[in-house]
Amino acid sequence: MNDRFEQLWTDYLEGELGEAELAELRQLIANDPRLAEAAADSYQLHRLLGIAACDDPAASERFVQATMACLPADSNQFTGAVMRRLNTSTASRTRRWTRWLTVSVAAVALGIVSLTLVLRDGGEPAGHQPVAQPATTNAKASARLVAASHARFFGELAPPLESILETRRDYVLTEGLVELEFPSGATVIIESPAVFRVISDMSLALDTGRCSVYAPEGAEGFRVETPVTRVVDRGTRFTVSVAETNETEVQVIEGVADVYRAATPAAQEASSNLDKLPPDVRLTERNAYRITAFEDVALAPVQFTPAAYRRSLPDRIIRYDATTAAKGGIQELKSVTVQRGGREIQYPVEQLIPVELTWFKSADAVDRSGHLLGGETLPENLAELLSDNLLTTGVINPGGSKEPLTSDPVLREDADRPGTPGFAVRFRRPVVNRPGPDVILMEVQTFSNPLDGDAFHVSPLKFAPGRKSHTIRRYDLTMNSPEALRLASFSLYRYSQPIASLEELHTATHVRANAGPRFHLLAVGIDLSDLGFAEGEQVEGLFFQDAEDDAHRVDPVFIAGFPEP
Amino acid sequence: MSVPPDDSRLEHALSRVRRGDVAAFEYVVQRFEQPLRAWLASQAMPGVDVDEVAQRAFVAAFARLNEYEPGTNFSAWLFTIARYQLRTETTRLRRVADYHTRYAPDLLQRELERRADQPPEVVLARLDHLRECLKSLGSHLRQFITWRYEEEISLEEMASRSGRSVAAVKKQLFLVRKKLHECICQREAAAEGGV
Repeated sequence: MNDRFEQLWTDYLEGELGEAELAELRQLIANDPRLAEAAADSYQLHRLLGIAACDDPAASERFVQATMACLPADSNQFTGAVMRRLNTSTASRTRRWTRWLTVSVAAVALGIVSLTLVLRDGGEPAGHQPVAQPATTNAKASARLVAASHARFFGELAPPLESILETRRDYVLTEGLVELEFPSGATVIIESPAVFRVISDMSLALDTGRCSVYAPEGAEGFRVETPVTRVVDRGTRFTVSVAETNETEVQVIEGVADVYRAATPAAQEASSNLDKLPPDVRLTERNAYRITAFEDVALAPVQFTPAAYRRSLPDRIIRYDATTAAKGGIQELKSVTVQRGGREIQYPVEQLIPVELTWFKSADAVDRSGHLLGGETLPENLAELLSDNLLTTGVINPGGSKEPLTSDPVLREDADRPGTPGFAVRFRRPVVNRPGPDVILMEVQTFSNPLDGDAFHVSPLKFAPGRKSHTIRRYDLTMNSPEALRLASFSLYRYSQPIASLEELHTATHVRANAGPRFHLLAVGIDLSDLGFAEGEQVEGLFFQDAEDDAHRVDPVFIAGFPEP
Repeated sequence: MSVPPDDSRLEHALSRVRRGDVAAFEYVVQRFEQPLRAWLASQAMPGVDVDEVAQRAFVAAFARLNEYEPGTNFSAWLFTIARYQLRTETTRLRRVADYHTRYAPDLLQRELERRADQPPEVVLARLDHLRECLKSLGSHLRQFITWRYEEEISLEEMASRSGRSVAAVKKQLFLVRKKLHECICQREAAAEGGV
């Protein structure tokens, strides 16, 4: 065996190979095919050793429980309703509209949806394939998922941002909103609960739910198909809402849209003769129609409600970027992408406004998970653990209260006034309240913790008329978000006593323990307006408390303010 | 040798899941978590989080249980799903611009891809051989495996505990792995020979 290969390969497995050495290793392997085999043998053995080393029933049990926690369980009602709608509508539709639905329900009480649908347009079968491939992408389609807010899909994880959705495959959005972008430039925001399919580069099917369509110049002809209509864009903004009864409402906010009843020959041929056939109704700006399909398909004008149109997803933390540790998992924050006031902004970490921890008090009982996250050693100044760029350091498990504060927290305790459980941070420079999130909080979380993140209260350091506490129970990036990345390994520092002050964090006896490998990093934006601060007002610091709604406490590893956009 | 799995219990659990008993799926996860993770571990390229892919495979199997035909080979069906999940994750990783500089020499990747069709049974048999080979290791060599794969301590700490240099520890790890590989090959050859 080549000695140099032996040395480089061992370094590679230990994650200690630099770029130059990696190139050298590659060259060695390229020159001798036997080394490629040896490397693969050794690599596979290395991975199996990792498995054999974990022959620990407790570790297996943790995996089983974490997997069980990922299973969809709460969508029965919605999915059941969808299934009922599809079942009852099938008979009438096969007569009036040559669109056949075959519904298979595999686990009725679970409400697992699997739809096999055959579309027949103009006599030609256009097969809707049953969901057979576990993959979430399909090279044939080109509608992309460009944004998501609290999105949950039934029976599967949400596709990552920028992924291409499969054509003619049902997506069941049970919670939140998603935005799709089509190659023509048309964008569609879909609100849950909804069942939709991407049919082609120029069309979307919406079986139930609501969508807001924007078709800019060049995207004219984009259409939304519902069980009873085809809505064809002529350069416009419009909404389409489909109720469980198939009743469809179309509202045109700007421009023109043509509506074809699905029962008419015009609708059946609309996909191939869009420009030749007269619509059943042409809607212009501020027009709204409802299309019902009981005995006959009928159209009737309804009140125009422009508020139904959604121009963008809610302001939120969209994603973050971080360096990757040698052994996998993210380590150091590089940037945060946030939507503020409807505008997407990416902030390099250097531009964020750091915080200093100025107060910490735990609950009265010893917390077995500890109060610090860090590496093998701790920095001298623990007050910076929440502002350093390392995501594997933090100050966790603060005290809290079921009820949020309504007056100033006590940060200098004396015999008469005990300090307030929780922690306070001061921004290095004031954060100015602007529309959308002004502050980001990131916490570590694992599958055995609440998947939406640990609830917490955030309060002003100084209360004044109009100011109030705000409780966050759901993070922007949750354990269900593909954008919540897995964290590199870290250590927990456990104390043998409750912690009453920042000073005690430094001085009390603590022991280090390795944390498990399954932690992810969640993130949430805090809008200072929710605390009663006025637009443009400067905020110097904030107070945080665990919401004490369950046995799990908030575990922050990074807090920062956003500079003015 | 492990006890042959009880397929009737598996089918019963799957049947309960279909009737709405989510908790019954726990038996399915318990039954397949280790084989699936082991197989994925041996097939996955560096940088792939095997546990995450395994979890996605279980969730996808759960969500698409209606596509499984009762009484047929659930294991093969599940591993097919896992293969797709792994392929998706591999594709995603490859698209990361600096993947090769961070994780994997492309030639290793190619060799692993060449082995991508290794049947799960081969990998699981190899895992069994590995366990036996570990038992036959001397305690001083076994110690390095424990430090490296169970305790996951740093090379420096291993050096400190063993009173050797870091370079010597690396060498030792290389030799232990080599020894284990040879042991596995011998056992595989013996098994093929019907011994």
